[in-house]
Amino acid sequence: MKRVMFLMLALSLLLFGCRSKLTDGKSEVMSDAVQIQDVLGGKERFDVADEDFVATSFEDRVFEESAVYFVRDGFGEFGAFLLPSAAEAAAFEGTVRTYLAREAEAIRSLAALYPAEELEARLACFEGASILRRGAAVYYFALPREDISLAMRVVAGDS
Amino acid sequence: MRFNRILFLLLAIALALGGCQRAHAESKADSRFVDELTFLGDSITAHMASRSEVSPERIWCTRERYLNLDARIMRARVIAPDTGEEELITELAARVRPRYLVVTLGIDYGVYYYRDAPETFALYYEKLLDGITAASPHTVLLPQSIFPVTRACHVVSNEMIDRANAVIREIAARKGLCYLDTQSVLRDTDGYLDERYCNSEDGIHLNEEAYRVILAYIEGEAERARGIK
Repeated sequence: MKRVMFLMLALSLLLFGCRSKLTDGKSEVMSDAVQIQDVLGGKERFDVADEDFVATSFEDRVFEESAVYFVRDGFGEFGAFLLPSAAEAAAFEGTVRTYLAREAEAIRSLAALYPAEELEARLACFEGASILRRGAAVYYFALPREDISLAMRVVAGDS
Repeated sequence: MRFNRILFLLLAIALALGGCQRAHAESKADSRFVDELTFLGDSITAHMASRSEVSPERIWCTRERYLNLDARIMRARVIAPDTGEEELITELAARVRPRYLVVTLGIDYGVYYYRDAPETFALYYEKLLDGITAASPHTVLLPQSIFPVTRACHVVSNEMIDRANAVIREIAARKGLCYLDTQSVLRDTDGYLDERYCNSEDGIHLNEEAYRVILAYIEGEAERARGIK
């Protein structure tokens, strides 16, 4: 009887643990991505990148979940990724840094040829970008500084 | 009397027909293939507005004049010549439906950052072409080669450009499109952009003479371009 009770308790805890990771069929990471869009002005402010963007920009990694969002009428972007493990998330952080550095370099080269306020603002987003890793999840924010603060609070659960 | 009227009528008709034929022959001689073209591209295309005879109404470029061939190309917004408003390239194509669209892209971002990933260069180039075709099926796409650079260019090399052009040429061949190998008339004997055609210290941008040569080359390709339906 005690064994049965223990087994049922273990099963319940396991199921509860799984469900807390999922919210309405979305992972926590994707729920965060939706909330981030909400605090930054709503979904209509963003365009979601195609799958090939993620594949070609981030070394064709295998993700449990992934999405990158571009600011539609402005500049900046953010990404949310769920890796298979925390170890892979730690390694992926390096990939994200490489991506951000490459984009900043590209914008810098363009700005040298075409001096424009818009490029300077875009460059500032990438040069001031933030990366956040939480377990198997990795987020990056190449956004204006005030938007990064709002987004990070969502991920931290402070919003 | 009646016979005179008939004769007069026949003479009038003959004169009218003769006049029409002459006007038609004159208009055919005056019309040029390049006048039917719309041009999509980065700053090198944008400069055609001030350095060539191409009307700004037939030039599609961004407000800032650069246009990266990269993963965001489908989200890039160009200035619609008729409204002055920004639109996605595919939106503009769907609305305006140009008869011929010359596409010259790659020197911004693509040539350098995909220099070791030609499949990625091809992915986004082809994605753009397919998107335009889906938006405006009757538009004849004319992929044009990326132009060479001078020795002074430190950003990209002609080897990188040649690799990218090989990709564009292959895409054009596979899709049955007429590839405009315009770069061939801009090179010096060492394969660099002929200094006579360069407008800037960066070794990339072109002057008025270059655009004259480019348009003359395209005009010479009219028959081949028109043959692709």
